[in-house]
Amino acid sequence: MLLELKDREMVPSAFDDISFDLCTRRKDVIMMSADLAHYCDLYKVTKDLPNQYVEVGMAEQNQVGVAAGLAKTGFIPVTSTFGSYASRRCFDQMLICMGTSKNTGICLAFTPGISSPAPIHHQGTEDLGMLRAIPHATVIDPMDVTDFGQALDIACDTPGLVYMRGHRGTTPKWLDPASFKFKLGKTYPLRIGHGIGVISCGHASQWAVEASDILADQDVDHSLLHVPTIKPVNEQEIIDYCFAHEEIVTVENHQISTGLGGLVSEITSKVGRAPRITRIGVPDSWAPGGSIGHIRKHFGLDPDGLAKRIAGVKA
Amino acid sequence: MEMVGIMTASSIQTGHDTIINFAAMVEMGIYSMEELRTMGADGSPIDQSPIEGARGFEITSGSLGTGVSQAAGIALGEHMKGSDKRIICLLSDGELHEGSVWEAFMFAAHYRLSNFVVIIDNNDLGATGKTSDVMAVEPVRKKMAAFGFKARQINGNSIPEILESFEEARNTKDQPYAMIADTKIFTGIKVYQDAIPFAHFVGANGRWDTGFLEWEPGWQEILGTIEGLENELAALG
Repeated sequence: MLLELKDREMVPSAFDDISFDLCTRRKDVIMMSADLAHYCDLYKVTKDLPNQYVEVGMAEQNQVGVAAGLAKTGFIPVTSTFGSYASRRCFDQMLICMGTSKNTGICLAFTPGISSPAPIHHQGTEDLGMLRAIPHATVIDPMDVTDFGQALDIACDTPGLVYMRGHRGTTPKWLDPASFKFKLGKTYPLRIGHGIGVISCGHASQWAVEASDILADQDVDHSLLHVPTIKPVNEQEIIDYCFAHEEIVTVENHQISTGLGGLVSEITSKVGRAPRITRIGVPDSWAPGGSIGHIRKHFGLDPDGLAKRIAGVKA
Repeated sequence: MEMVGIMTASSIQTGHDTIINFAAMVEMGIYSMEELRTMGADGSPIDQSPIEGARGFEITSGSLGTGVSQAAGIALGEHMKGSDKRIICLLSDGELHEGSVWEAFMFAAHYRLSNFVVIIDNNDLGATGKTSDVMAVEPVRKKMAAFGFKARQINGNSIPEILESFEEARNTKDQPYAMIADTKIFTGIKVYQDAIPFAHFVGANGRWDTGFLEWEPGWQEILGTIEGLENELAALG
């Protein structure tokens, strides 16, 4: 389902097309923004489909509350802001207004994790852990435009709170739309192998693929598992994958506590005697600002650095 | 036919006095009197503050500052659908401390939600004392007007004034309406007056161990007051 290297492409302003296409197909979907529409690639809906767009100004908590209200009148609201605000500032609104409801309410978190050039205040590296602690919530961290678009479609028919990390700007299209079909909770093997099993989600699945290309050249036996749904995840698929490898490495665009690494550790600990799990991500630290390349290198998440760390678990 | 939805936006006062909603719903047949009598008991369906999905309740209240936004969203949704439903959101002055309610007020005025009414139970009561001592919120009417509401301050203990204000709200165009209802808790019930301003929970009065029996003499007075209100309502037709 991973496109060949030569077929992988970069898509500019991907969410603009995804949101416009969704709103054209589904007239009950309402896109929302807290004065960040253009910073989240929301252009065409705001201009051409004004009846399906609600601006709330720089008021993220109100955005989620209003969205929950719209949901109660039969609409499917999709809020958008940066992940730092979506998670930290609106947590109570997401939990109370959307989390206790059966109405679909979708919160999109753009520039998630370290993918924001501004430090700390614009970086939401705790959100997956926060959100997966909410009962019955759905939490999705897609890796490219293919699963992002497909997951958003599924989210529109998923009851309750759906928190999804978004991609903005020029975004990779690495999953093959012809063979990849997003299903809630499903895990996706991107590269088959033995030895070291690398489990990743979101932006980190891009990083894992880059590192994997290097590891393949070095004949390091490994495989990749992309886990776009953090909650509810198919636990048996995670267990089967982990027990089929000698070492497990989790890679995430998130603090190494409470996120994907925490999730995999929790699941395997229910069975016991799983392979060692090495959690890679943001190591209980504040990330610097700057380009994503700079921040990744800072944490050893750049292609070479990551490949070295993955190979190193068997050293 | 015009329909009115009533939302209890959680607030210091209204969140915790939701027993009034339950009592009203007993009258409507949604709950039974036997259920109402279990209030406060473990396992009772009569919750301290209602959760979405509980019979008769469409939103989860109890977290201050989240209700007004939801109510405004419902008002916008109904407006977008072209319905004639009106949304009434009840909160109290203590909840005005929460910044998010002002985000919601600004929003309702920006979208000119004339189907949206907020009733502010302006009772000068917070969780630990008088709102005016804890964190002053006055002048509430001027603030609501400045935020774009048609704002009317009334004696919230006067049924005719409440009805008159509702009528004004119904006739308001192009902007949301705020009814600032100055109320005094336990109006007409002398025995409870010394509980003010520590009336966050009835009978507590800072003395959790004394219980409700101490107020037993108040019951006859309460029943008398209820009868008086019922007569007043009957006289209004």
